[in-house]
Amino acid sequence: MNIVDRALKNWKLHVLALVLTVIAELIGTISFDVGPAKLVMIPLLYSFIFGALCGIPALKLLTHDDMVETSSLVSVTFFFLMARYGTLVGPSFWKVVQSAPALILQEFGNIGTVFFGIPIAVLLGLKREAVGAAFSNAREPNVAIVGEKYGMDTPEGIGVMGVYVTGTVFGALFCSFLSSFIASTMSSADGTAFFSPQALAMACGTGSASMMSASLAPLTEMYPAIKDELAALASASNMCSGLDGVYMCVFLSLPISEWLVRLCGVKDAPSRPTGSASVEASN
Amino acid sequence: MTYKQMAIFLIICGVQILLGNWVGAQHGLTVWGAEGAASAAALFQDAIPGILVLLAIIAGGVFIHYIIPWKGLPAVAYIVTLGCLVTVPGFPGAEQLTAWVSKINFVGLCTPILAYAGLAVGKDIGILKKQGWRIVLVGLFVFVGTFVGSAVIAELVLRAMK
Repeated sequence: MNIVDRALKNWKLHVLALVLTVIAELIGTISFDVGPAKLVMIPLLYSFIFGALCGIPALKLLTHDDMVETSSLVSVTFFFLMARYGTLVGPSFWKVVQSAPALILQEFGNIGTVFFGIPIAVLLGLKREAVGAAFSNAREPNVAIVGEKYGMDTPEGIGVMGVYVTGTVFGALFCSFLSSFIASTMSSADGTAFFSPQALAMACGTGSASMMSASLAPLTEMYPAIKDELAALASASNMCSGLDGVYMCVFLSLPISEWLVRLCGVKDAPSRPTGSASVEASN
Repeated sequence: MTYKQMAIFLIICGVQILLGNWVGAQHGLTVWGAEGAASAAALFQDAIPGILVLLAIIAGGVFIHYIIPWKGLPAVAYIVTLGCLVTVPGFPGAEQLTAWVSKINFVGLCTPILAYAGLAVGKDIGILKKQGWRIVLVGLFVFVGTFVGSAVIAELVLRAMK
């Protein structure tokens, strides 16, 4: 019996997911003030945290096999989300097209992470790991790029996997708080603060559906009157990141990272995947 | 994953989304109030066509992915495109489809999805411990950089367009 069959027949998982969903929805959205910022807590955060807590070994609720089986299903759950996001963009399609220049150009903002991340990574003592860790937000396509270019058992591979796992563990939580914080302290719908909610909505789409939802939710709570427009912009931006992300990484952010990491004083040569290294040695 | 397994799991997931959507739409604990019972039943019924539309969009997207020989794009790309296409104003029946799916709260849709992600996350904690806190910290800075970088450019372009 293959892993998906076992996962489908593992009723404990589905009942747990249902119970967590109901509990999370019963708690509902809670927002509270933290100094000048407003934190918006949404049900998807509770269901994620409770789910993660179920995995604490001392509780004896989930075995390692249960977790591996669950992860074989996770990608399909996102089908629903993608279908719904498509139907959010559709009705606002022409509005989204009008914002196309901003949507396309803000994709270059994803490179902002390089100028920010590489120096910090080197300061923290990382060497070649810095390139893998800071060249992108390390979603699946980016991991694949590093695997192909440097290999996964290399410092670069360790870096990209580290950030990938950081994203799956903390990504939704962190992005939600980040967007709550920035939206409540630096945005307004009438132009009195620097960011408009539309610009923040576009920034939510970085190529990860769960992080996008988590960072979009506080925005729709704060600006309920335009929530459909914000959701459409965020989904459209997420689609753009999915499409252009790979090219952006290969042609821009990886070369910039390579250059920047040397500038920061890391002189080690880039790693090569084991296969191609042996070819070179024989030449 | 076979198409049969996918279909079974999508149905399980659909039921969870329906129940979560129903509890969420009642604004927390008021769902158990007596006067809420009738409206709760109506809400539940209203959401069923929405879930069926989403399932149809998913099936359509997976089918397109299946018949197109070039596998450069994942099935989700076709799903999101199809969802967009059938609700663009002017597409036959777009208004009705939009009305149906709008009964499914899009943020609430994520609650069961993230529950599964949470249940699976425990197996990654070991990797995280091995990688060390420095990479975690860099990761968090990366998320800040991506968000702020994109937001600043989007804001400047939006202003320039006005």
